[in-house]
Formats: sequence, C-alpha cells, structure tokens
Amino acid sequence: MNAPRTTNPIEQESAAPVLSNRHFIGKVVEAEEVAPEIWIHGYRLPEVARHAQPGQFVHLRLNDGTAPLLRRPFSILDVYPGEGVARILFKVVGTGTRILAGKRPGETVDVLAPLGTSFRVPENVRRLVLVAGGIGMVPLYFLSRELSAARPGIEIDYWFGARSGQEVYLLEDLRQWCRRVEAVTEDGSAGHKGRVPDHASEWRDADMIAACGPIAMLRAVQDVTADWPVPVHAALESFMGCGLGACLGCVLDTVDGFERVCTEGPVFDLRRLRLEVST
Amino acid sequence: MSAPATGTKVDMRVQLGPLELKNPVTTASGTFGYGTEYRQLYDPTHLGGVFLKALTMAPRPGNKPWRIYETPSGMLNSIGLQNVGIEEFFAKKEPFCRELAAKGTAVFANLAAQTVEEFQQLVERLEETDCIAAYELNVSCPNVKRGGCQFGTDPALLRELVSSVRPGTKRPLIVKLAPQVTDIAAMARVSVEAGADIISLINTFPAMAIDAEKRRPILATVTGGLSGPAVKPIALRMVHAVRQAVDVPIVGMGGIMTWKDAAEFLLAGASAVAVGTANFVHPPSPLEILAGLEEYCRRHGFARVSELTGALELP
Ligand SMILES: Cc1cc2nc3c(=O)[nH]c(=O)nc-3n(C[C@H](O)[C@H](O)[C@H](O)COP(=O)(O)OP(=O)(O)OC[C@H]3O[C@@H](n4cnc5c(N)ncnc54)[C@H](O)[C@@H]3O)c2cc1C
Ligand SMILES: Cc1cc2nc3c(=O)[nH]c(=O)nc-3n(C[C@H](O)[C@H](O)[C@H](O)COP(=O)(O)O)c2cc1C
Ligand code: FES
Repeated sequence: MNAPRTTNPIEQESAAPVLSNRHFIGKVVEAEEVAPEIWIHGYRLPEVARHAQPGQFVHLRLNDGTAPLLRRPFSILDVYPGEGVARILFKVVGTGTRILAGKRPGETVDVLAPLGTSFRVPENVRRLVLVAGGIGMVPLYFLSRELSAARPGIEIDYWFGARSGQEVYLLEDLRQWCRRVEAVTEDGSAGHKGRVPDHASEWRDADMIAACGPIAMLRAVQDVTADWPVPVHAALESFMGCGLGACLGCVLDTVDGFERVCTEGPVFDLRRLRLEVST
Repeated sequence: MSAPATGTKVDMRVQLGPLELKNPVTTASGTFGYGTEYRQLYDPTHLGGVFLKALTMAPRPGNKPWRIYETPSGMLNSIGLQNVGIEEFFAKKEPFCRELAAKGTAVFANLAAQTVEEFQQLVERLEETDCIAAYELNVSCPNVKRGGCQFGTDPALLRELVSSVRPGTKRPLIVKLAPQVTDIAAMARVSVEAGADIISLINTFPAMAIDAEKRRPILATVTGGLSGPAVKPIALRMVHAVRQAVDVPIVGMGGIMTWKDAAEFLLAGASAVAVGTANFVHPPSPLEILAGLEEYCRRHGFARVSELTGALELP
C-alpha cells in the first residue's frame, strides 16, 4: 500500500505534528482568560505563524470523539513568526468553546490553517478605520497590528463596540499601534454609550473601512457607507463544515450569488453582500 | 483463506461489478467537491475512487443559508444540490477527473435530476468523456413531474428511472438508495431488476433541528439530511439487508470515521466504502482508513481485502 502514513487522533495518542501543509498538531503554549469567558490561546504552529494573514482563520478539532463532531473556526488574533506561535481569542458560547477553554499549556490542538481570504489594503490607504463588534475585534486586531508595523505613518482608528465594558479588552495593546482607539458600549459602562455605527460621521476622512462583527452591525455599516467612495471590507461568519471549500455548507448570499465564507471569504467586499438580519 | 506472513502485502484491490478499484476506500458525493478541494491536504489519487458532487444539467444556486448544523454525533445539511452544472463541469472540473482516472482512481459521477429525461441527458453528455467510471443515480431527488415524490421512495418511479437510463450507457449504473423507506431490500431489488449494476447506500436521512429560544427551525429549508456517526448503526443494518436481497456489489456508507467502521461495512456485505462527513472532521481519514484496513487484514490473516466482504459470521 503506497498511501502516506498519517496518524488519526481517534486511533492513536501520538499524533505527528505536521499532517500536511495545512493540517497541524500544535502545542498550547499560552492559555489566558483575558475577560470573563474570553480566552486567548497561543499555539506552537510555525508554518501558520509564518504564513497567516489578517482575516484568515484556523479550523480546530476540539476532541477525539464524535461529540462535538465538526471543527470550529476561529480568526487568527496575531502571529509570532520568531517563536512559531499563532494566537486566537475566543468567547465561550457553547459545547465546543467550553472544551477549548479547558485546554492547558502542554496539551495539543488539531488545526487546519491558515484558511480563507485576508484583508487587502491598497497601498494608497493613509487612513484606515476599523469597526469591530464584540468578538469581531479579533481579525481587526491582527490587521491593525500587522499594518502599523508594515506601513509606518498609516493612521488607524479602531472602533470597538460591545454590550458592556466587560466585553471590551486589549485596548492597551491597540493603543500601541492605533492612532485612536474608541470603545462604544450599549450600556455605557465603558467609552461612549450607544452603538459603533452611531459614530460613522467620524469615519468620513477614511481611505478604507474594514469591519467585523454581528450581522446587524455590518448591515448598519453597509447602510451608512453605501455611497462613500472608499473600499469597505468585512470579515464574515457562518456555520462551517469542511472549511476547505468542499461541502458548500458555509455560503452567504452576494450580488453574484452564494459564495463560500471559508474560501471566497471570510473577507468580502461588504457592498457585495446581501445580509439578512435574523432574530 | 491463506494467512499472509507479517509484512506481506495485502491485496487491496476490489471488484465492483466490471470495475476494479485499486482499494475499497472512496469519498462520498457532496463531501469531497470535485476532488480538487482536498488536494491542498493530500494526493487524492491514493483513493480507490471519488464520488463527485451531484451534477445537474443547468447550474444550481442551491438553498439559502443556514445550510448546515451540528446534531449529536452527526450533522444536518441542506445544500440543495448547488453545483456548477454540466457545461462548467466540462470546462473546469473534468481535467482533474482525467488526472484521477489516469492514476487509477475511479471517478464516479453523481447525477441529480428532477425528471427521468434530465437523468438521461446527463448520462448522454457524460458519455463524451472517458474519465467517468460509472454513474451514481442520486434518487433522493424530488420528481417534479410526479408532485415532488422522490424517485428513491417509490418503487414504481425507481424502476422507471433505472430502466430508462439503462439503455443510454454501457458503463455501470449505481443506484444510491435513500434510507427513508419501509423496506430498503425491496428498493435494492427493484433497482437491480431494472438494470442497476451496483447499489450504494445510504444517502442522508431527512431530519430537522429546532431553535427553541427563537421558536424557529435552524435550517432555512426547515429540514435537511442527517449524516455522520449518528446514522452508522442504521446504515450497517441496511447494507446487511441489501446484501441478503441482491447479488450485485455494494458501496457502503453512513458515519464511517475509522478503519473499524469501514471493516464493519465490508463485513456486513459492502465491497467498497465511501467516507463522507469524516472528511470534514479529519481530512486524512480516508487514507488512515485504508492503512487501517490493510493492517486489519494482516492481523486477521486475510490475503485480500475483498475476502472481508460479507464475511460476517451470523449466529
Ligand atoms: C471565519 C470565522 C471566524 C470566527 N472567529 C471567531 C473568533 O475569533 N472568536 C470567537 O470566539 N468566535 C469566532 N467564530 C465563531 C465560532 O466559530 C463559534 O463561536 C464556535 O464555533 C461556537 O462553537 P461551540 O461549540 O462553542 O458552540 P455551539 O455549542 O455549536 O453553539 C452555541 C451557540 O453559538 C452559536 N454559534 C455556533 N457557531 C456559530 C458561528 N459560526 N457563527 C455564529 N454563531 C454560532 C449557535 O447558534 C449557538 O447558539 C468565528 C466563526 C467563523 C465562521
Ligand atoms: C454536505 C453534504 C453534501 C452531500 N451532497 C450529496 C450529493 O450531492 N449527492 C449525494 O448523492 N449525496 C450527498 N450527500 C450524502 C453523502 O454522500 C453520504 O451518502 C451521507 O453523508 C452518508 O455518509 P456519511 O455519514 O459518511 O457522511 C451529502 C452529504 C453531506 C454531508
Ligand atoms: S465550510 Fe465547507 S465549503 Fe465552506
């Protein structure tokens, strides 16, 4: 038999660290609860740390059994190519994220990464406005960090919306590389009271807008920026199966028909999306 | 049964009617795209066969999202047969299918249609390429001319479909049975009488998930198809029942995650297996299943994997 030998964690304890150029077993090197039920995990994944771009995601297998069954997607928070570490930030919302939050340094995770598209910021962009809602702060954190390092002089405004002050975090980090960092909370317990799109008038001199957050927020951004002459891009979410473009389970509706969040996205031109607000 | 010495090669070839597969492990339709998607992870030419995503004559946009959802040890999908349509298949996807076929990996076209005529047209068009080893009729499609009744749940419709498609090709016809029937063996018998060379089973079960808080179904289409480990025991029972009912080879599937699951399907009577949902969970599963099956044969003294088929010892 000439099939390459790989190891299935279902069957065996000792998993090979590199299963292919997109499939890895990474060691947990950092696990910190940065706010209630919000965790940062750092994984030793040298290949991912070298190649991942802001907006891309990791598709994590959470256990070796069959419940939960499917992988769970998480945006990449940042990478440390020198240390070979990639980090994610996640909120505990259900079974899978609860299991993930229980992982401790030294344990391993099974990762497909880096997957999906990334934010493309044209060279002429001098002022970038980032609009984050809740956990949507993650890819924009990565984007602002990378861009400020790669393009000295670029001015980045980071608008971070959340329900309450408890759900606003990493502001000190962001202030290191963003010109302006503003928190907006629905209950007013941190920063401005209200919702991020209420502040759209302050984004008018941006050369580009990048957003990530709940559909309702993205719809509001879509509406206020509809006739602005600048690119407006956003990272989207969806339930995912394969994460690799094969199952067609993760599609969103666009002006050109259904497109896969895992392959044509997660970063889309926001104006191309037909977003439906449910609830 | 001849016991091979440790380290000897096990003959992994299996016969599916007139077709020889280099090994019994294939990937299930709709879970492996057109073969190209998984190339970023491994070389699909190691597989015995690849069942392509369902093809229809015209491109189909598929259903509105949400399309998938996780259920206990399983998943629901309502993709709605989204596919590029037959012309785009020839333009964009067929070249890689040729590559697979050239390396001895059988390519199976999964055909979906809403009328008997459309099934016939699909076969007619696909006869133009030599890279397709056999046609798999996805009979879990509603027949629009018969009030949406599924081909695969009405014996008379199923007979009409298979016997109408049969004269259009010399290639083997595979009928992929829908599990939501009272008597799966009867559907297999009807298929074989009408000209099917191979039976594959099972397709997904119609199923549903509800969000109690929102008092709404989760999937945009309300219902979807259940797959994954949750369906495995039912699928095994059905493969076993079909094995008793007909003499043609069987491709078994439904919740296969490991080589052990695959061995169970072979023992129940399948000649080959298809790996579906497991591709999403652990992409290298088909290769590991292949390696595991070989090891299993060696350990149990089978010189050929084909000896496992139906080797179940009944009480
Ligand atoms: C590209 C992408 C990037 C993501 N990045 C992050 C990130 O950086 N940090 C983070 O915390 N989360 C992120 N998510 C969401 C994350 O994948 C889900 O929170 C996670 O899958 C939930 O798993 P669970 O098993 O804990 O929840 P489950 O037990 O499966 O579900 C719990 C609840 O969460 C909802 N839910 C589950 N999955 C999703 C989803 N994909 N989108 C919306 N709602 C969902 C369910 O409807 C349910 O109400 C991202 C999702 C995508 C598609
Ligand atoms: C996302 C998804 C898409 C599928 N699409 C098709 C399809 O196009 N045609 C078909 O005959 N079966 C389709 N199936 C059914 C599978 O081929 C298989 O019969 C079923 O999933 C059971 O196997 P599993 O439990 O290993 O997944 C699909 C299954 C899934 C999960
Ligand atoms: S998750 Fe399978 S196609 Fe996107």
